[in-house]
Amino acid sequence: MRVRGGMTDWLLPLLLIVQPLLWAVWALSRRKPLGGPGLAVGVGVNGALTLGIALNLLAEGGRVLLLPGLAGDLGIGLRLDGVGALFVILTWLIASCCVMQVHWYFRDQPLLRKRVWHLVLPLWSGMNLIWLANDFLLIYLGMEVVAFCVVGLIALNGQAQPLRSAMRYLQAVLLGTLALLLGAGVLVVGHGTLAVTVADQSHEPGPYLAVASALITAGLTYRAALFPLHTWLPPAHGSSYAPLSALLSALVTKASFYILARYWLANETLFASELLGGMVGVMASAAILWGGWMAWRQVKLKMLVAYSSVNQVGYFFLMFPLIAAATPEVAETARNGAMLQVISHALAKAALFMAAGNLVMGIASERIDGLAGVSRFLPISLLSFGLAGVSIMGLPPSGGFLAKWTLLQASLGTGQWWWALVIVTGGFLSAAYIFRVYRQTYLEGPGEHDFHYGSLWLEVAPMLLAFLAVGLGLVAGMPLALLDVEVAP
Amino acid sequence: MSFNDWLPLLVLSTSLFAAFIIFGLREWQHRWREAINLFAAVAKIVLVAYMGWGVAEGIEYETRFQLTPELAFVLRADSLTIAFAGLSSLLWLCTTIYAIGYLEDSPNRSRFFGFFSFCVASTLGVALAGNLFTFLVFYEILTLSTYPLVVHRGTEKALRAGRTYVAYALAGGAVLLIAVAWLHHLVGDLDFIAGGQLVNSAVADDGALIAIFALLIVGLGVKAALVPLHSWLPQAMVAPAPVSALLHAVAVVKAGVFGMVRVVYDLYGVHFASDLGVLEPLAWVAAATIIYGSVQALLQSDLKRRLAYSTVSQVSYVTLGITLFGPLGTIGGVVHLIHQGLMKITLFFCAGNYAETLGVHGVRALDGAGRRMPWTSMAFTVAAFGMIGAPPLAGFISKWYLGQAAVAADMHFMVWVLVVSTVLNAAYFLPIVYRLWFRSQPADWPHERIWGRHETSLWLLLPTLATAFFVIVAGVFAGVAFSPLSWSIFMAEDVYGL
Repeated sequence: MRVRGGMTDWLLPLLLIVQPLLWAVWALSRRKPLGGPGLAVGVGVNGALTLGIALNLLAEGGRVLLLPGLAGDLGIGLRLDGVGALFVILTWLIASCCVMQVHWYFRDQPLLRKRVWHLVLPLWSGMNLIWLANDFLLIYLGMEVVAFCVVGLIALNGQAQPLRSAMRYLQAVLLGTLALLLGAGVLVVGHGTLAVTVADQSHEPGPYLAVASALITAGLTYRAALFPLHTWLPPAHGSSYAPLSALLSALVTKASFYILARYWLANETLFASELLGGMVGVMASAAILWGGWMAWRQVKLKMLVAYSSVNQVGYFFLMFPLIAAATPEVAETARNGAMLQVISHALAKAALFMAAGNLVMGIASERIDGLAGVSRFLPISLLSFGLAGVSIMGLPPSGGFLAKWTLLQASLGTGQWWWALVIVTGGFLSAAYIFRVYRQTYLEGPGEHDFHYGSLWLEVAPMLLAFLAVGLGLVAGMPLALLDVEVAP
Repeated sequence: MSFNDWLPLLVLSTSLFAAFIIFGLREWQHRWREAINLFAAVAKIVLVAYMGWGVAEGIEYETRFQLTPELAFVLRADSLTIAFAGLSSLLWLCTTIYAIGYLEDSPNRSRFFGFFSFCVASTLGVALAGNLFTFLVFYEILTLSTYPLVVHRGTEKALRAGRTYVAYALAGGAVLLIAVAWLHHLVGDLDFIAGGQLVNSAVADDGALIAIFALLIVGLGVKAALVPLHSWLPQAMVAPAPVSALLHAVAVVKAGVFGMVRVVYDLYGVHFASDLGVLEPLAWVAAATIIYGSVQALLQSDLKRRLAYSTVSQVSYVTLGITLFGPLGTIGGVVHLIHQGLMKITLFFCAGNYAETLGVHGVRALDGAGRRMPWTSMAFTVAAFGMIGAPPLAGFISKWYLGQAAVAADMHFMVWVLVVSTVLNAAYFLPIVYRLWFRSQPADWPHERIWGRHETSLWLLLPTLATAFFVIVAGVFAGVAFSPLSWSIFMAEDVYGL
């Protein structure tokens, strides 16, 4: 582990965090919204930085950069490792697609477009800060930035329903973050550190750690919308504009899981008890089953997709009972499974929301019933939706399938076969709600003049993301190799 | 990597690429669509034939890459692969020609033919899968790619059938997933190897292996339409005729039973499976399915439904063959896998011809159709006699070997199962043949269409005649090299190390 690195070490990660903010400032300084070239340059620069950090990590291994002085003693700084790099890459992929989608989706609404940039770009910065932070203070900072941007994005169209959803979201965020902050406070008092990797500093388990862990876990599960704390999520994601919903449910919901995963994976030896793991596992199972059932019952397409997130989030959290009960090798399998699930869900869910947005725009109705006849007139969006659905259902060769397979192996490896049953049953439920949509599209419906055609550019991002989600199963070796880049002890 | 390492992937991609190109075509570009379809189908036959020749010479074709360090994706050609891939690619060509004629001027053809090619690609994947994991991957993709074909017409009835199909298939897939994951957990990544692998594995727990076998059979039995997992199949006959042909003869049902062959011969190994005592229960299930399917077929008055139940019964001949321990059973089972495909596709083509040309769906309404459509009716008669097992047709060969296998395995009861089933086959096919040729047509046909000089469209007629011709050839020239029978014997030698 390299502590308090030199200037050059800081440069790349800092640029990665700050670049979207600078970009946002540039956007603010112009009277007109950013156009195609401005966006392309920003996306390109961020992509280069992302690639740079991934290659650098693969070449040099993981490391921690701490601030000088007291802050550094508290563990405040950046943590560069494979998991973080993986999420930075994922963020770049999804945010870039989202930027493209926003640009074409709000083509005729320049004012709205301008406001979207002021929210999306800082959000991007906040996400990268969360992925790279080493401590709860920076994480808190990142989460607050993200939260305010998200509230703005949900409430953007100014109608009553989204505004209500935004308020509920804000409430959830404030409560969740409060618990996180309290937990971090307990950590400072009890162990004199804010770092997520408490165990690194060879602390003994004790009451402080137990309380802090409970608070942090509770706060983060709330923000991650794990059952039964999920009720704020579907209205928030279902009622905002489709390209923004894509961003919210593909990336923002992952942040809380990510932090929790970091905390647990680093401190496994200290506190990860089978009891706490089992409790999270029960909640996760309930989320898988309940979310699937609720998704199946929805009449609106975007609400179905939103409830599907409740269902899918459950799979991530199955990681905790598995690593709590596992040997180190099986724990790695569990981690790999959960991370693959996170990545494929992010890609597939973004594709689903974008495609659903195109379909809703095409049929001028939010209802699933309205999809009759759509296969003849909006085939590309439908195909994107269908392909992304394959990954959500966890059918091969998608990333979702390989994730499920890996989680199955982990659950058999721990001997806790009941999670395997949950995983398989959940897959069946996901298939039920996805096929509910497929089915409707085979009905013959109204003629061509009843459909509205958007720009063909709107089809690009969802198709790309859907192909990535489906193809991930075949190239999963690459993200898994990156995951293995860890900070040397 | 040499060409031989790429060939399996190339075989797979011919129809996969065709699918993607066809999806991209506009609805009205039907000449392009037809050309691409036919080109891909012919290219596939050539490649499979080349590969079959190589396999007979002992050349290895294998595409392999690691998905994760513990998990390999393997496509490999062995004698069993060639049997199934050869059948599928030959019948795909026939079905493609047939479908072009059948769907002329109907809507959504790009969608249909796209998924059609996709379905064949997944079938070839099933045939080429070199380990259980790869098999599972394509087995599931097959479900996904056939669903759009089953519900193609978009009627309420078709959608209901589609829902039943998907519910059964995905449930079967889930059971299979559990079984494969469990086995992988116990023994790791195992390739399919003639003679089986599990006997050498260090798993001391026979109970687990028996349970896994049961799960595998349930998962595969859904597609293979083993009773009581069969009821999706008769419902799915609402699909267009080429799709029924695909479900019953080329792809879906065959994938299930092919999987069983793989599990028994190349995973467990027939000796080990026999020692575990799992073959005999399966033989009983197969026997029950054979009788039940035949009885149900007898009770159906709709032609396609009768054919569907006949499939339920006939496909279990293959299962029966592999469970009758011994080379003769293997030969009978594998050869029937091919022969049943040839005969059943002919019958479904004929049913489609009657429906499209005369508007006839019920068995009773076929009175006198032989005079109106002599060629189709001749094809139907040949295939029906084949199904009954009349020499020298294809069906006779399979039944002959199965009967001998039952005697050799000292399971005389199974001989009786075959006899009863043959009587039932005759009971539900002969009345149709009688109606075709010896009854006179009562009144006008329900929806007659005139196609010029010929009794029906040549797109429909020629594939039907071709497959009926194969039924005769496979029987009469069974002794010739590369006939289905010779190939099955070649394969059985591999399995038993003869």
